[in-house]
Amino acid sequence: MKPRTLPLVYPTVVFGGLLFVLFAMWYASASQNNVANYLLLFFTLAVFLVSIPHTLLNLNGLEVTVESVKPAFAAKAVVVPMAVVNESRHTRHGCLVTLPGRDEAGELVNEIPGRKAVRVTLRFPATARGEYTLSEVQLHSSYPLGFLAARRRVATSQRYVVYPAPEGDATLPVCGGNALGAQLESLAGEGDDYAGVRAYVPGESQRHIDWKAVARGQPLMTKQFTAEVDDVLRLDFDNVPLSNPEQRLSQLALWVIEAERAGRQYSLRLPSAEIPAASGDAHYHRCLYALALFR
Amino acid sequence: MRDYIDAFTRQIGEVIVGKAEAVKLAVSCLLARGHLLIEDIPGVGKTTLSQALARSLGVGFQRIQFTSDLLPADILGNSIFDREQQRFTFHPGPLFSQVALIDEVNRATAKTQSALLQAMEENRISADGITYDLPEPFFVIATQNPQHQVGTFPLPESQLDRFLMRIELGVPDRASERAMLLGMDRREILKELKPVFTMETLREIQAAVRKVHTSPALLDYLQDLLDASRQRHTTGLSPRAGLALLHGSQSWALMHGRDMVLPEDIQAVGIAVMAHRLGHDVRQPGESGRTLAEALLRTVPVP
Amino acid sequence: MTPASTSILIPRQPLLWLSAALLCLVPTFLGNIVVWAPLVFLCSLLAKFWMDRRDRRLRSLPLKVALSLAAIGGVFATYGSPRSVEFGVTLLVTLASLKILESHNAKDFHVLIMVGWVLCLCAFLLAEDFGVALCVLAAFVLLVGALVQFHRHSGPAGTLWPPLVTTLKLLLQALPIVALLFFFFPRGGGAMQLQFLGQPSDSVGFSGKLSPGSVSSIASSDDLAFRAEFPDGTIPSPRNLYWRGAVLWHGDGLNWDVGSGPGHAQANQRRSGIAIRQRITIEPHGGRWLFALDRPLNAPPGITLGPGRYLQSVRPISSIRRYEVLSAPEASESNLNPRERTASLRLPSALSPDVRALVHTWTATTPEPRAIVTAALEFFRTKGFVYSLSPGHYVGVDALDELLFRRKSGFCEHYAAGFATLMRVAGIPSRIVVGYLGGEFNQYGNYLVVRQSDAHAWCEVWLPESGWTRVDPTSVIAPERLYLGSLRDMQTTSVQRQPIAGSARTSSLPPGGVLSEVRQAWDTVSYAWDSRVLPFDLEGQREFLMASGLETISGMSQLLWIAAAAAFLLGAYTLVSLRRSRTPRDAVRQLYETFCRKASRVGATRSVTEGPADFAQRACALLPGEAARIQRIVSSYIALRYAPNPSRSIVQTFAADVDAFTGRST
Repeated sequence: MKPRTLPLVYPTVVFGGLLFVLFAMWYASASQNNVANYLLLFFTLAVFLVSIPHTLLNLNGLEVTVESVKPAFAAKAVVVPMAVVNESRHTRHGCLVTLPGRDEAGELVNEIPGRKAVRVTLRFPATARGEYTLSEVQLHSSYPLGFLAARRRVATSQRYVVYPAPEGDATLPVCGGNALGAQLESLAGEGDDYAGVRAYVPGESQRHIDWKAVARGQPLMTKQFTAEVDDVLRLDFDNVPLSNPEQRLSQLALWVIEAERAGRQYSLRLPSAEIPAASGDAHYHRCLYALALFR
Repeated sequence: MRDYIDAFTRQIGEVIVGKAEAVKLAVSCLLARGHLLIEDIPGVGKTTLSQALARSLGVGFQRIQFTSDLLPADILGNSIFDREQQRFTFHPGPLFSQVALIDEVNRATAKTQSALLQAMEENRISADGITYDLPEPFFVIATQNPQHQVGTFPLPESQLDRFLMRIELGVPDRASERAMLLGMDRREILKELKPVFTMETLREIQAAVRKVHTSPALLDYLQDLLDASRQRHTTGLSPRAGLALLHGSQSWALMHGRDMVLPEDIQAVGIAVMAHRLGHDVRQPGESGRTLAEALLRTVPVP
Repeated sequence: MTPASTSILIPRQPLLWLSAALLCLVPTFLGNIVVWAPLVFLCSLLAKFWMDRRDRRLRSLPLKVALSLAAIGGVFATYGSPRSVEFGVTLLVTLASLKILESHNAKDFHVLIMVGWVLCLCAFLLAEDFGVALCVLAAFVLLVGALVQFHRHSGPAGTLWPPLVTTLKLLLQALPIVALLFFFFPRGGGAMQLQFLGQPSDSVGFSGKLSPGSVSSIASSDDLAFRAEFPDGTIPSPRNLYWRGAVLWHGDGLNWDVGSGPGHAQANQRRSGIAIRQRITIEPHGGRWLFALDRPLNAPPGITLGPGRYLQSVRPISSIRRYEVLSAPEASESNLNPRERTASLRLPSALSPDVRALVHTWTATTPEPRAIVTAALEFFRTKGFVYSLSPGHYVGVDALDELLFRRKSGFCEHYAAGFATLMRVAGIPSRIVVGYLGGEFNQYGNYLVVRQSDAHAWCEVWLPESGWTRVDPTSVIAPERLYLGSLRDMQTTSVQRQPIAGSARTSSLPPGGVLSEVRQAWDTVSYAWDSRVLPFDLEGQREFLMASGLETISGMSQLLWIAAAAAFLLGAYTLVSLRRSRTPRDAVRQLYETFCRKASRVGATRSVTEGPADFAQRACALLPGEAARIQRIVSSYIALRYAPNPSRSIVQTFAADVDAFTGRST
């Protein structure tokens, strides 16, 4: 069992209004010796008092489990998925889930039935690259009457990574003597290795028509070739043509994205770390992670 | 029904000596109608296992060796111009069989891989704008070498998810290795394997797997595992992974003669089902999926 | 408050609740304040809904200021002086109407809720009868409901019951605290008394004067005067229900008033016959008059006996008042003191010769006072006098002559005044008593309801042998007035005989039957409110505390005790709710945990991630002596927890096995 933090109950702005009304009722009844107004005062006061435990209990049994946060690029939104679980048997109402210090990221959960969970997704803009910790999630509710609000902070230890914003105008660096960036599209069909045939489309270069097959009486077919792409794209922090380190990181991030999208093998070298050439999701994230943590 | 399963397992166990656990996992994966990925270093019997499975199932199978120059059309099929009828006719590729054995799946380019994975997902392929249904049942038993070998194209994360289980064979222990050294040639044994199932039996067993009871308490445990993975890892287990875990453990329970799933069943298939899905955690680059899966099973309490 | 409370618009549902609450308050203002204010209020509520649908509201600041000024000006023009409750309430109602028009966000919503509560307060300032209380209660519930609805942030629009249930639950839980506060909360002593010009008093009804013509407005008033209970169970017959209000000593023709009076009442009361105990709950009337059956014997605390034995409150009665008094119908005095004699023989300033001549015809025949009284009554009975509620106005010096010799039409006040004057001319001491006659018996509550329409006036003359003796001239002119009890009934029964002009309320009178029963039931509840709740003010509470022996507690410690008790109650609620919200523990699981605990004690500890089958295997190896039982326990557990359709009968054997398990080989 996780240690439960007790909710903090504090008055809201409306509570001031209530105090005024209560005082007015008391004054009117006391000065006029008016029993009906006394009763009104007592009812108002008692309903307020009874709402205290309701406010307190409205957050009782609510547990928040923050799921792991997908890495975000700087200036994009960090998406924090979480499940608010109501472990009690009673429905909880009007619960605002926020992250302390990030008021703009808040989601109001109208109703969490007993023994049920509600998924909440909080979003806030990622500021600077790096790795951060979400230390707590705040539950907030002013149910039932709104004079008091209860607030409970649930500790989490979820971490999230903000990758550098992918920016920059520089083209992918040259490797192996070929300006690969310009050639990527034309690779298929231009290589040396025979890859197969397909139906001829009028207008294509006649160099690749499978004439032997035509001679055998088959229709026009185009031979296809692929180039074995074994050139590794070497992304090097020191070779980025920019002066500002942050801009360099942004440019590298953009290159990593482009290289991954093109299905290339790429390696990344930073002054502090070196990642050997590979491709694929894991590698992609590993590179971006290294960029995010760079100092 | 149980006899069939036992016989099936025994027969494969005779081919793959000393790997009873891996064999049982492989069998349960097939009975749960899932695609199987066998990953290990070359020479431990990946191909042998996959062939033994395919032959014993008693259904048609085709073997495809993946290479870097393999094109999607090579596995899916080609449209070739038929001179007599003056039109293109579709010549189905090797994928059109009930069991497709794919060797070294990570040798092929991403394009070919995704063509295969689409076929696995949808049980149908599309070529030249026409869709063709694959036979039912359709299994893919793929083998692959460990990642980061030179000249491999790792399967994308999202596509690994389509394999119900990933098993590793590992080097056999000393006694088994000795038995293997002394025994018949594996290839000879393979040739002599007789199918254990008929198609009907296989279908019946597969239907029975889905009927194995899963109690609320068990589903709680399963969901706890999923939740924990989502909290701890950037690539938490998907709902599909949950289903895989469920079906895998159902089949495991049936193999062990039970009509209900126990937490033990989930734990037994857990690593095979979860490890490849937890593959790469950005923040724990050193950890393999297997370690992460083991940690999950070690820490999430059984309710 | 949510971070962006000003940007949250008022959802439709809470707005509806709020409007319903405010609507409930409108009837309490009708008739109490100037009629245009509630109308403006209603119109703005309607307008709000019309505008809300079109996403409009009052935005322009100059328009707001202009409207507010117009409202304030209008209220000033109506009331003139700001020093009255009505002024304040009217101003509040009009400004609230404007607030409704401009409100659109969460802040405004809360302001409107507060305004709603203050309007409840105002409603009670204007009147505190049971009808108002019901309206206010409804408004209160709806206001709380609106708040609950608002803070639920409920999604689906159709949900009416859940918030209502929550509201009622809140109120129900609040009731003990309300009761606690009601009985023990120290009442203000009126030290900070706010003086308003016009006391909220019923202008119709009893007054310390008798000026003919004024009574017709009373007669048509159905308002309550007071209610009387008879704790001893003796209820006098209707014709003896003379409720003594005030004694008028000073008469001038038909106009009588209390005058200077003969000073305080004498003590030489002769007590005879039975005494009747009454518990009277009187409606506030702003004066000091109190009522009791003819004639009161004692004066309760805070009440004095006026000259001629009538009750008089020390302080004006501005709120419901409850008192107990003992009356003896047969009581009489032995002698008349000189001051009283002088006062009760004082003649009007102007007397016409005709009157003197008339009196002379009686005194000439007999010197005997009793005979003169009889003769005078005979005169009224035989000379064609008519009972009418609208006899026209008698004005001027010869008003008496006009009544006696020419118009011969009038009602109790005229005849009482005329008769008393005639008696004085004849040398018989006489005075007028004003009060009420009769009352309507409420069979549900076992009490008597006396209304303004029961107002009556009669004479008392001094006869040497019997002291002050009641003579009711009306009884000889219109005997049915006595039997039927009230003027109201008179109107309906004698409508053919006595055309009644200007009495618009005749048609709205209850025809009896079911309606009358409903009316009685309503009055019973209303009486309970008036007699049990409303009198529990400063004095009421003091009496209660004294009766329960707690009067020594000071106000401060009273508050502390209340706080402690309320805190206790709230704590109890919290604990009960906490317990109830906890999910019930699964019996099977609990037994299994017991088993695991026991096994752990003897060395086989289950790890949290260990499934039952694995654990059984391990435990059997560790505890071979108990292997069979462990197997049984675990297989039952598996069957109960994981198997399809577990039969509940296993639970018993499971429990027994777990119970018997010790971990030691036997």
